[in-house]
Amino acid sequence: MSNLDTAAIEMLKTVMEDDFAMLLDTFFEDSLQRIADLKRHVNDRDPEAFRKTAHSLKGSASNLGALTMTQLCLQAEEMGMASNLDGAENLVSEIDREYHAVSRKLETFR
Amino acid sequence: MGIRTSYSADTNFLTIAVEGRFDFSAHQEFRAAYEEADPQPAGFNVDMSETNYLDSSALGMLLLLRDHAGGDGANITIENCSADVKKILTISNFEQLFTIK
Amino acid sequence: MTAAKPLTVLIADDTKTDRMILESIVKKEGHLVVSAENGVEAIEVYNAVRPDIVLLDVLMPELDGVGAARAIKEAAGDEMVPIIFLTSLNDTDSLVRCLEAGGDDFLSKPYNRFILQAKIKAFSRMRDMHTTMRKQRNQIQLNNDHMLQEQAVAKQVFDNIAHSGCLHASNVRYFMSPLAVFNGDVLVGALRPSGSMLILLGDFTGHGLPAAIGAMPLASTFYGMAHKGFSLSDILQEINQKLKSTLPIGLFCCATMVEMNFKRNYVRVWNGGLPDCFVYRAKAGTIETVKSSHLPLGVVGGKDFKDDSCYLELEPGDRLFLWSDGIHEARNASGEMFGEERLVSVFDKVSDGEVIFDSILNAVQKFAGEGERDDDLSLVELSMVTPNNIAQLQDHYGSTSARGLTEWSLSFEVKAGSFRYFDPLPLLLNIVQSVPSLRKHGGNLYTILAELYSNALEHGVLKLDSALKKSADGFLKYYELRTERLETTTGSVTFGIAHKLTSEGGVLTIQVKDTGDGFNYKKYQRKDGNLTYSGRGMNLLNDLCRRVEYKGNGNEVEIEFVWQDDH
Repeated sequence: MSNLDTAAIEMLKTVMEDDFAMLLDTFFEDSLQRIADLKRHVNDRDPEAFRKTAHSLKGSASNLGALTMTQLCLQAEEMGMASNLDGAENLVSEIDREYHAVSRKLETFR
Repeated sequence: MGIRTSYSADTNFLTIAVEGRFDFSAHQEFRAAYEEADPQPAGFNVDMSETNYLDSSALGMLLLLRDHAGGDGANITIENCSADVKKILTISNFEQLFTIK
Repeated sequence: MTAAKPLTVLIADDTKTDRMILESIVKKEGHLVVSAENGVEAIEVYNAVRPDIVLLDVLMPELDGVGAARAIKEAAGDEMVPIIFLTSLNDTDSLVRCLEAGGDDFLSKPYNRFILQAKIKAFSRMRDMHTTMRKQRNQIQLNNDHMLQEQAVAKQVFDNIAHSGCLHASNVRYFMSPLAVFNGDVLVGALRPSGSMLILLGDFTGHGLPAAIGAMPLASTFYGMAHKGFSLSDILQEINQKLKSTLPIGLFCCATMVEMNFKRNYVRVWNGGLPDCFVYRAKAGTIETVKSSHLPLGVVGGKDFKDDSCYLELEPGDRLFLWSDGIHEARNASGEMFGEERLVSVFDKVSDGEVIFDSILNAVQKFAGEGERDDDLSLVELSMVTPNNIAQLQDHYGSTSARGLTEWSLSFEVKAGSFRYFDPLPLLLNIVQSVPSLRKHGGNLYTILAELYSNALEHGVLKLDSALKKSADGFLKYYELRTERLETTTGSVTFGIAHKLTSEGGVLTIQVKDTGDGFNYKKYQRKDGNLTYSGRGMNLLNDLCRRVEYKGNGNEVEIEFVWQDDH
């Protein structure tokens, strides 16, 4: 299921050179923080904050070539925009799972 | 606006045709037309058939041409003037200085 | 791969991952990077570092990209700071907000290294162009300010020359742009000492300073001569000569000059190169035109210049209208010219001469439209009515020396000891010729003075008999006696000379009295007072003078020499 654009990763490696490892660490750190934030916004019933966080996570996921994760974040963003958080809990779990799958794959490029 | 020049068969006369508005914007080109003429002709025709407007700076340019061509001895004909152009030349009484046809 | 000139690029993004990627891409191009994590920080960094290009994330905490962009654009002022929004925004509303806030471009995620590099290059070039343009614009602005300042000074100089005019006379109305002199239009007016009014409206070829330069000698010549009593043709000749000799070929002045004589109700009009001027006859409500019949001023020199004018008798209340071609050539929105037909129709519509002036201006301005007010518009109305402020106008000249010597008298006595060494004629002729209009009569005046003086000296003081000169011997004898008696005489000759102005010109009166015995003039006297006597150069004097009258016992003579305006 997890989908990673490996060509994009290779390009990132060329651009980042020695900083690529640090980029991965930063991505993991950012993503874990954002996923925790998403869960909190669902509990708080705060669709606007939910939308913004989903938007940010979508951006960095797309930069790392995490295609499926980007797709899921987009769904979350749209949910927030529609101010309807029904089923958001499941979606966040799905994002969380996809993130872990992607990060395992990313580790192999280190 | 555009200036075209042509010689008579014997190169004695140079015809300078002025197209469109004859005003200050034509200054450089009009001047170049007679100054750079090689050989220098004995007389000039200024063809106004395509000239639709003439202002006082154009009158000044005609005086410069007259001076270049020898002042009082200059042989210059202004031809094919429209009614409007002719009127402006007449108001300034330029027929005293040029042959106007 | 490094850019020719390293730029400083501000990257503002709250997601550290994205920021890192951008920083690497930008650094790889050889540029310097400064970063911010939110909108407020972005503004702070911008103000501190003044980067060349700004990359702004749209969604950021504290202050979002849109707010930051507004603040940065405002802080940048005149300078061009390209702002590229970082976004994967998919709704149009947000894109529009970004553009409105001053965004110049977008870069979407995932970031593409080549696209970003290309954008930075393009904006860098644009920025350079803008900087060059701004420099040039500032230079132009500076030059323009400078030119306006110079024009103000030049205008002041011109006004100082022209201030002595009579354009505020009650019979004169005119409309001219305050800076008309820089459009080449010039209007001068003055009263002659005789009370007639001279007005000259000129239109120099070209615009700006070259056009204004010609106005200076024109105005100074005009005022210098008009106040001294020179005639219309004298002034035209002089101005033409001055312009011909000082202006480059191709620069000249179309002009109309008018003399108005209020005492005899006539005008003289000279038109060289301006549109027909109109004469409005108040009683009949008709117009006549005075066509341009001469070359403009400054085109030909010397004898080729013709100063003959058109003479028109008017009635009080008649009006004269002068204009430069600005009225005829005023254009409407579709480029059509006002033209003479529309001008004539303005006259057709009015029934009262008083409103013509305003009607013309209204018609032209209505035709050209409000937005297209033409600065070249010059209109002058002259009414055939003695200005009610004429005394004040003439007083004004009286206080200046410019008026010249026109009304005067003198008494001058040549005593015995001076006869042999001193010739009074050049001195007296010089004084007489201080009246400008008498200058051209110098030859005749000399003849008159010489005849009168030699009569008084030789026949009066020295008592020599002209009959002696009839034979060759007598001639010799005559001059021997003359030399002899000059040594011993105790007599004197007294001149009394006076000049006064009349409505037609002026009268010069010369009295000469000697200490001799006189002669019996009464037996030669005709009814008109002149003598039939042919001795003493009487034929010549009678010919040149209006009146020759002997007085006392014949040792006193008085003559009148009359001159007319403009002939």
